[in-house]
Amino acid sequence: MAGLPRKRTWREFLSQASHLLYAVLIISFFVYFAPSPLENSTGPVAPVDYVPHERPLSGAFHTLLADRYWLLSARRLEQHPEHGSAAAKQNFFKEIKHILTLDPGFTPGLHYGATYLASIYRDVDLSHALVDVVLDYYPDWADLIIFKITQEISYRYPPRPALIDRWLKALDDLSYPTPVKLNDALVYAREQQAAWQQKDLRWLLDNARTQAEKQIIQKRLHDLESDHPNR
Amino acid sequence: MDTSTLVLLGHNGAGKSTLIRHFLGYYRRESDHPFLKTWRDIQPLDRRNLGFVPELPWLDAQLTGREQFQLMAGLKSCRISRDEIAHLTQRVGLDTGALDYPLSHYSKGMKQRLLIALALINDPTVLLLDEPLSGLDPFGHEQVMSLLLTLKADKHLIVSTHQLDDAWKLADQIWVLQNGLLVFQGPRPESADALSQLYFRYPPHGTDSVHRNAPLC
Amino acid sequence: MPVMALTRATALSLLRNGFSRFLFVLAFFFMAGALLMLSFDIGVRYRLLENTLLSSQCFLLHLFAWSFGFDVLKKNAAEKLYVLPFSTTLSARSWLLGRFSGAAILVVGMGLLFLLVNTVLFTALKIETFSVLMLQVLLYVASACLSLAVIFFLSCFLDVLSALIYGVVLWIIGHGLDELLLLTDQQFEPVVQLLVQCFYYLLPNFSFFDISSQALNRLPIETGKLVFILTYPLIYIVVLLDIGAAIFSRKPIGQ
Repeated sequence: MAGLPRKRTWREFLSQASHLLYAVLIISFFVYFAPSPLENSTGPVAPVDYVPHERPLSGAFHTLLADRYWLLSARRLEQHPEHGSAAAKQNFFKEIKHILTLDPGFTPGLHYGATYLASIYRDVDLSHALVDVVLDYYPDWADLIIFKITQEISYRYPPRPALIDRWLKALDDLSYPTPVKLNDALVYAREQQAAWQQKDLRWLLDNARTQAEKQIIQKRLHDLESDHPNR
Repeated sequence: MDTSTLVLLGHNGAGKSTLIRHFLGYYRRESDHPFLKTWRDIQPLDRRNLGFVPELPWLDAQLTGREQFQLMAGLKSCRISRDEIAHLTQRVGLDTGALDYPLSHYSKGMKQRLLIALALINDPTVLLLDEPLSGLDPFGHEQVMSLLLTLKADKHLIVSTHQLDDAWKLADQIWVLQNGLLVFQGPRPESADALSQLYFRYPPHGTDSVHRNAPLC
Repeated sequence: MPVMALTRATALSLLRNGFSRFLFVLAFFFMAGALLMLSFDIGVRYRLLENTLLSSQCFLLHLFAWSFGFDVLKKNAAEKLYVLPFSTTLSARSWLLGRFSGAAILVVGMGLLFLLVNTVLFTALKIETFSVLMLQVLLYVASACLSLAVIFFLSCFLDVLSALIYGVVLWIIGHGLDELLLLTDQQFEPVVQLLVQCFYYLLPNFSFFDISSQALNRLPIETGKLVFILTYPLIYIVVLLDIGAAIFSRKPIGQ
């Protein structure tokens, strides 16, 4: 039966407000579990431990967030006071890793970051750590495994035997071309190493995001060309 | 058809609307309402052949009158043509032109008549009306009352009301409720004054005993 | 037939709602904002246009679903729209299904409209292989419908506003269940792991519907995974509405 509207009692108000409070507590509990991606870290961490706040909390918008970070990261890195130093290298790595965790399929970012780390900062381990972030989501992505092999050959010849053994096994599992071809490639690679590095640097130059990055890449390219003038 | 009209009387909070909801089977367990314990002998009605007119027009104000008819017909699993809608509309004294307007444009009297028309879809034999005359102006009251007297001829009506004059005009049987108890069940008294005396015998918070004069209908 | 009648009535009522019209206008502005990306070379180069379109359409679809669900449930509660229908032989299950379908059908309609807009846009801009992008929009529709079903289920035993709040919270949590499971597996005690596993299997996992990374970067999707993603919301919605109807049918009507 209809009656005059009445004021809510304190008990009713608290009952309704309590649902909002429970919702806030659940969200806070959930946020607590996700660590910040930019906390202090001394080096590459295993991708499986790395869960930034933004990925679960952004819901279906993590790719847009990744794009935003990608567009902003160049500016941020350019403003780093010691561009080219170890600290700058770690920052660069963390930014790209953050972006790849948010959008693992973002291959332009992966290729740029991995190639930059290998060819400019000469750190193949960090470069591979970036590729591992994506391989964690797409473990059967053969192209990425081949990419790691070519990087290893280009920037750390001779490649480490333990790594070669592991890749051979991975290639076997993927039913990829036989190890015989890989051995041929290793022989060929010794001769082509400098040319591959120059090709990587030219690609980086075409895709450089800021003037500072362009200058560093140009300097590295110039140094390499003067060491190998006929390539 | 041999029909009868049962009128439920009682003070505010006596349980008239609760009893109507009990007839409709809206309560699942005895613990849902304190009055249900005393009505164990009263069974809910068969909803397949029943029309219900609630006290208030609990209808979606965004829908037009025609859409309300189509919705109600769908809920009763029957089809209704435009002609049938027009016939029902005219029977309750509603203008057919109003059917194309949303309910937010209707007056209280129009909504009440629409509710009766909706209850008449699929020609039920029993109509439950919960205070169908409350809140109407004298003109609307007169229109709805004459409509109910017409419906009395071919349908069983169960009506709850506060108005003793209306009760006396409509009723064949009277049930009086007091604080959830059925304190009187019997035929309509001889005169409106007699009905008034009967009614005032059972004020709120009283403890008079049950007086049964006729079997349950 | 009662379900169809309720679906039709609910959809008509929602379409005439003022807030629905506001949402349509908002959708237009979001699309216009996405089209602004065309003016940035980097937007076209890095697929920012598709990304913005997809994200805005995801946001809008869910906003539509939540607002429609809230509107339907609030009206049901405030205007007691269930009193008259339950005077017929209508069951609680039919009632819930009819109301849910009425809101869901509008969400699906909105999704189809977005698909049409995307098709016209991508064809005009000669953007290739956009079928996966279309699939993502369909999955967003499924996600929005599932979120709507969660709110309907919660409304069977909570008040409407609380049902909406918890529904949105579950949508947020549903996107992080995979990472939560992974993290507790690494760093926490077995009791916590067991609790999180229960949450993982019971709560709706909305991250299944998110293939934006594959869609935007044109990566392949396994057929088996796709079949699972399309079947999962159907089964979950049916189960939710069934349990919700069972809870709702135990409550007295009209009070």
